[in-house]
Amino acid sequence: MANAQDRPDGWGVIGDWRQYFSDPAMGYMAKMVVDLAAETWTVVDRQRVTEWILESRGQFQPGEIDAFVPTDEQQAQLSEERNAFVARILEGFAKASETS
Amino acid sequence: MEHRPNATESPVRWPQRERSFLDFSQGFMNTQMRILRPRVDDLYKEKAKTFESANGREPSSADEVGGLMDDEAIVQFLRFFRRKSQEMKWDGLDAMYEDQFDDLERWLDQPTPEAKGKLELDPDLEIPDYFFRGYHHQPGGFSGHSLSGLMYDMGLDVSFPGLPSGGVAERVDDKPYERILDLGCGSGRSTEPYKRRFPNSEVWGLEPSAQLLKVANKRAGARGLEINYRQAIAEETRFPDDHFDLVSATILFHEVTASAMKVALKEARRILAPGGQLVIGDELPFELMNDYELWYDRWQTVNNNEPYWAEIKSQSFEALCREAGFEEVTVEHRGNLRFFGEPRLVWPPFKVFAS
Repeated sequence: MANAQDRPDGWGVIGDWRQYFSDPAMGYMAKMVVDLAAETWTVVDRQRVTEWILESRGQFQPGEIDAFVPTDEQQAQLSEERNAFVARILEGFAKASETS
Repeated sequence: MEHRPNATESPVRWPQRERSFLDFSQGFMNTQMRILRPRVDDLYKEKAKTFESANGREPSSADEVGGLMDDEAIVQFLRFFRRKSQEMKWDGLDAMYEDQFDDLERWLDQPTPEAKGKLELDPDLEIPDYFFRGYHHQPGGFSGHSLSGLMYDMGLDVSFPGLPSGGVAERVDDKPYERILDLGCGSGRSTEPYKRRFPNSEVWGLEPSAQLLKVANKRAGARGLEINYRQAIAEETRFPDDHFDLVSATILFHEVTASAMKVALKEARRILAPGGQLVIGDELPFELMNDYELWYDRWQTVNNNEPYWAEIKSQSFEALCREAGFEEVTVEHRGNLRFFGEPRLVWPPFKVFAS
C-alpha cells in the first residue's frame, strides 16, 4: 500500500506531518504505532471473516475471504470491536501525554 | 465499514484487506476526536485559568492560545493523527482502486440510462489554477485522474459516516421554484436534496470537475432523480440573465480564492431572477469564533490542505453579498467545530440568505 510519506510532491500540499512534534523522533514512533495498528486490524478482520465463513459452511471457496461482504449485524460487531481497539491505543497516547 | 460508500450503486469491489484498512481509517479518524479532543479542551481550560491568574486577563488572541497549547504532547498527537488518518483514507482508496481502475473508468464513461437529467461536459473548459491544489490531500485533487470524483465521493463516507447532506436545501423557503442551481455541486450530494424537496423544479448542479459530475450523474440515476449537471465554474455559469429562482452554494466558497468568490457572487446575482434568492452554506467565518476556536481551526489551512480556508473565512460574507448587489442579507450560524466523531446537528453550521 502506498505510503503517504513517499508520495510525490506536486499536489499543492502545504504541511509536512513530520514537523508535528517538538521531538521529530516522536513523529516516527507515532506513525509506526498507527501503521502497526492498522495492519493488526486488517488481520483481526480477516480472522473474523474466516470464522464467519467456517461457521456457516465449514469450508472456503477460492477468493471467498476477499469477496466477503459483512452483513449489517456483522459490520456492527466489527465496528464495535474496532472502536474499542482504536480507543485503547488512543488512551495509551493520552496517558503518555500526561507524563510529558 | 459503516455506511460503506456506494456499496450498492457502483461496481466497486471491496477486497477484505482494503475494506478493513479503510474500516480502521474510519474508526481511527472518528475515535480520535471522541477520545482526545475533549482532553485538549479541558487542558486549555486549565491553562487559560493559570494564564488569567498570572496576567489578570484571559488569552486574547489565537497566537496567545497557541503559545499555551502548541507544545503540549496531546495537541501534537491529535494533530498528527488527524493528518495521518486523512492520508490513510486516500492510501486505502488508492489501493482499492489499483486492481479495478480500468473497470471503474469504463463504468464511469458509460452512459447512465436511468439518469433522466442532462450531463453537459465541456472538455474545453478553462479551469482556474486555484482548483488544482490537491484539497484535503486527495491525490490529484478533484480532477487529477479518471477516478478522482469517485474517490472524493467515497472518501466522504469514510470521513463522515452518516453526514446529512440536505442542511441547506432544508432551510430554504417552501416555494414553487421554477429553476434551482447548486454551485460547486461536487458529486451531487448537496443537489439531490433539492430535487427531493422540490420534485417539480428544474434542478441543476454546476461543477468544474468532469470526474465529479460523472459520479453525480450516476448517483442521480441510481436514485431516480432528474437532475441536470453542467461542467462550468461558478464565476462563469453560462446561464442567461434572470434564469433561476434559487441559487445555492454548499461548502463551496472555502475552496476558492476571495477574488473568485467575489466574481461568483456577482454571477449568482446576474442569473437570479428578480425576487430570487442566493443561499450559502459553509464553515464558520473567523469573525464568529473565539480565540481558542480560531487557534484550533486554523490548523486546517496547513494540515488538511485547505489552501483558501483562512483567506475566505477572514471575509465578511454579508459584506461581500452586498458588494455583489444583494440588498437583503441574513446570516444564520451555529457554532460547532467538532467535525469528526460527533454527529453535526446543523450542517453546514453557517448560512447566508441573500436576495
